[in-house]
Amino acid sequence: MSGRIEVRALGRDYRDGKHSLTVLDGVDLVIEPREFVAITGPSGSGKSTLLGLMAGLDRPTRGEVAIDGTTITALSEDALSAFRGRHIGFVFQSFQLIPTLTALENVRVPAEILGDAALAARASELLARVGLADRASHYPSQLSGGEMQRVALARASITRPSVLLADEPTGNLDAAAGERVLELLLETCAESTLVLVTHNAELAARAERELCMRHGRIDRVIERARRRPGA
Amino acid sequence: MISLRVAIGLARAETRRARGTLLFCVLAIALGVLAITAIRTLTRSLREDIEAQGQTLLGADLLLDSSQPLDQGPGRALVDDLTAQGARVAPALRFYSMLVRAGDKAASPATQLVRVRAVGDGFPFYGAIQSMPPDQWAQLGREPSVLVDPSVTRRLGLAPGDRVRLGQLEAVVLGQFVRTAGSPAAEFSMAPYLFLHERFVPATGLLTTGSRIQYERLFALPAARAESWKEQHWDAALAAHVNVRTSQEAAASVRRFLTRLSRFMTLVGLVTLFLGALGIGSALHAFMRSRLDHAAILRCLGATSRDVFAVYALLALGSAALGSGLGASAGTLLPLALASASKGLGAELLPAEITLRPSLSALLQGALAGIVATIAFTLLPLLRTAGVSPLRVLGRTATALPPARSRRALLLGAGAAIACVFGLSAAETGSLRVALLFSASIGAALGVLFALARVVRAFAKLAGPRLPSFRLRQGVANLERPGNQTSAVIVAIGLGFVLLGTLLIVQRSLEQLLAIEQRAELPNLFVIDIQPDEQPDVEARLRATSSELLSFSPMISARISAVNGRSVDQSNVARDDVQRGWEDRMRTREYFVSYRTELLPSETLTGGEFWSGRPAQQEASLDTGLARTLGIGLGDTLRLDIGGLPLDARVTSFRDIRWQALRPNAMILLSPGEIEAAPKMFVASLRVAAAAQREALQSELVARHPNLTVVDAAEAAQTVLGIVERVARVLTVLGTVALAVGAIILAGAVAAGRFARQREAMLFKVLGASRADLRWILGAEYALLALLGTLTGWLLAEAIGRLAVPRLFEASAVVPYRALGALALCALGLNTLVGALVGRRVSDQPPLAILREE
Repeated sequence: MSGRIEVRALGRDYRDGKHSLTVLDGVDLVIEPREFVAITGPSGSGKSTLLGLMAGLDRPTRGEVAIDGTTITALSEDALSAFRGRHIGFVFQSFQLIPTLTALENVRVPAEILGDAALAARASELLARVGLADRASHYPSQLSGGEMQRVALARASITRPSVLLADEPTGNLDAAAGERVLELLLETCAESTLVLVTHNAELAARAERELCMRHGRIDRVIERARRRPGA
Repeated sequence: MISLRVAIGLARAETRRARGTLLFCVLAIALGVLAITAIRTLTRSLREDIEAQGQTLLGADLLLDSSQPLDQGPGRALVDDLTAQGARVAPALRFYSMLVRAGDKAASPATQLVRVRAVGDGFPFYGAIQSMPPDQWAQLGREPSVLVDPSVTRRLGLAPGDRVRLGQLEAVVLGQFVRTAGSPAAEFSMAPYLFLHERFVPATGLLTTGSRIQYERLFALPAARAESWKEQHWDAALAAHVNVRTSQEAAASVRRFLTRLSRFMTLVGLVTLFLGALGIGSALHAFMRSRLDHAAILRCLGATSRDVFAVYALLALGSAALGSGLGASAGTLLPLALASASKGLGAELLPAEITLRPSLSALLQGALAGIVATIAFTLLPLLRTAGVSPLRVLGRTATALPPARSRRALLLGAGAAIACVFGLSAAETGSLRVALLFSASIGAALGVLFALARVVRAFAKLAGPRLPSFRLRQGVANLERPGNQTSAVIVAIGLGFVLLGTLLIVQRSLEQLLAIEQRAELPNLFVIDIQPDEQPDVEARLRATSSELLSFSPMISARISAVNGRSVDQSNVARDDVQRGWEDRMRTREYFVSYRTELLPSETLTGGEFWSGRPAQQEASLDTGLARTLGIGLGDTLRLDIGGLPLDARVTSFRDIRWQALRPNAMILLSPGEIEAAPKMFVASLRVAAAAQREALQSELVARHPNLTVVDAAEAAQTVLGIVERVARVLTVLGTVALAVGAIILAGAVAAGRFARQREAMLFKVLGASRADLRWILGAEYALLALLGTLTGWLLAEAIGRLAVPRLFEASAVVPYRALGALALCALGLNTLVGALVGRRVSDQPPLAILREE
């Protein structure tokens, strides 16, 4: 899998009783393999919704999403879960670690879900790579925000996903911790297509392409030179 | 699909920060399973022992009994057939009579109603009757002598060698028989037994026409062929009005009583089990709701719904298996531990020697019931958790499931719970009808309680913000907030209260029903077997003491031989004595027919017209139930067989009879006419307020007419009250277990809701609320829940009691308001205390520790 993402006429409405709200309105987009794309825009512009739809976390009202030719919006719930587990990694703003698992166990979970012992064996190595080898047996409540996000990063990369989606990964962190996480993100996911939702202009400026969203549409695209290691 | 190893690992990880919740789950189901297993172990031992001791209970392999002598008529052929096959035979008779102490012992009463068991040589073929002094049984046939129940020796102050009179026979008291469980002397009777040799019965002069005597023949058959003989001769015995009982059916009435009692106990046990299952269901529901984010993360990481289901199902199953195993083990051992207290609980009333022993099948079935109930009651939260949307991690959805899937999960979850309640109650009671009624009752009670919880939440939403006090406002608002335990607490308290409240109402109603001494509207003395020539003298004697409620009724023994020329259909009568129901007995029994010109106050006309005066043609008025059972309509002609002579009567009315009024009622009532010429006896009933007067009257009557039977209803009621008390004691033990389960559910529900409250509480604290404020808020929340749960439970218990008691006991329900009020106060106090304690724990936590979690 190479990590090519195609988004065609994607739309998402939310209904609340009689009222309907269009959050995403006919988005068309192609992201090339190993490309680093940042999605920016004001709150409520549809950034996270687009990211969620690309990850198959939600179903669109209209349109479709294909990853490496597989139309994920047409997959059954279970097939979608299996596809996500194998090909998509996700990093959240609020880390979303499982509080009852240790750092090491959190990293290992996706590989264990896949039943891939070889991948699972990478967990310690990944944890070491994000600088947390000595915190392997600690629970999330015993870690700082930056540490939690690094664990989340290791978890997202354990299955060597072709696509890595990140929703405000540094939003809850201070500048130094945010920088460290971003460095690690770019380093550990060098082989993946990276799509990042952010409010942070500095962070967005490091992407090869920046999609500025407004009212559920891509309002503006800023192209930049490829700067990722190995790209 | 994830591997089982991974699923187990994830499930184990989920237990790390939920030990308290899971311990509660284990305890809740363990107590439920304990109740059901203990009841099963107990009833299994009872049943097996009674069955194993059938021969010694009966003292024979086969018993024939009839109201007609068995040495003549059609009964004779049956006896001859058995003796021709080499059976050993012993004749016997059974009848009620008055035992009079001869001589003067002023301190003791002089008379006692007894049930005479007159037996011939050879009885008992199996087992032995022990006596005090020992070895007196063999002396019984040598001279007119009796062996009496210990209660008779106590009451009449008798000692071996004393003399007593039974009818016209004077006999010597050999001593008392020892009522050893498992011996033929252990049968239950409303009056104490007395043994006499059968050859001395004629000398009593009590075998007069109209006397209610049961003639028996007991047989010991070679190679125990009793069952096959009964099968072959059933029709002939039915036609000859001879009842056949085998040793396997011995103590049929006791077994029937035990079956009913064990069924009732089983239902109470099932309520406890379902309370436990509901507890584990609601605790896991709260637990899984707090784990929805974990499930959503797992879904994001590639786990399917099935994977998530597997992880949490393993968790539920683990708790269920551990709880059920613990409960079943404790339930198997509990009856053994209570064996020493069994006398107080009524073991000596049982006719068999009971050895309580652990039962592997009871243990396994109890554990299985626990696991099945847990799965059924946790299916809904499991489905909801498994169906969680991965979008939840982005905070895009507040609910776990889309509406259509949520409905499907609800239907599946509710369907599984209903099927489980019905299936387990059918399996435990062995009756589809009982299971259906029980399931419907549980469903209705739960429906009312859940509906109330909804109303409470709606009220909290509406009224909460408008309340003036900050503490009250927050306490009430908690009832509606996310993470609330309103439904769980209301159902736990409500259902527990329904159970205990109903038991209390039934118990008090029975006590009131049997408190004949205090009920001035009831007669309390009955004189039976009054021959027509004795009637004027007896009436004079009675009137000399009291004429209150005095009435005389003629009683004629008769059978229904045909209706409109067709004989009563007896083809479907159950052959097994234990299985034979009321309707079967209606088809085969002998009736006491009476005649009079007006209705009694205890009777209500339900159809047709009651005769006035003395109609030209013989008319009949039947009990409504009897007419329905036998398919008799108005205008039908009833042919009665009175001592072999036919009498026709046209059915002109139906009546409902209130038997509890203790009037000389008769199911078949005839108009005055030809019937007056039939051989009859009279029954007199009256009220004599003072026990001493009743005592004196009994002695006087029996001295003048030794054939009379005088029944002191207040005394007989005491015997029944003794049994009611013991049954109530057993039920109280069960009720206490149910209450313990309710309390654990409550504690679990409170604990499950604690975390949600903790975060709010910390925020309140950060914003300036005092620790007292926090305690008051939680105290108000739980007090309100307890108040509503208790009130609803009370109303439901009262409704059930008022509906059930009149139907079960034909008496109005007595609602013990004081006792219920005390129970309600206890529930209220306990719940408020729990709320305040939670408030204390919450308020004592440092805010940072709580706000940092999750």
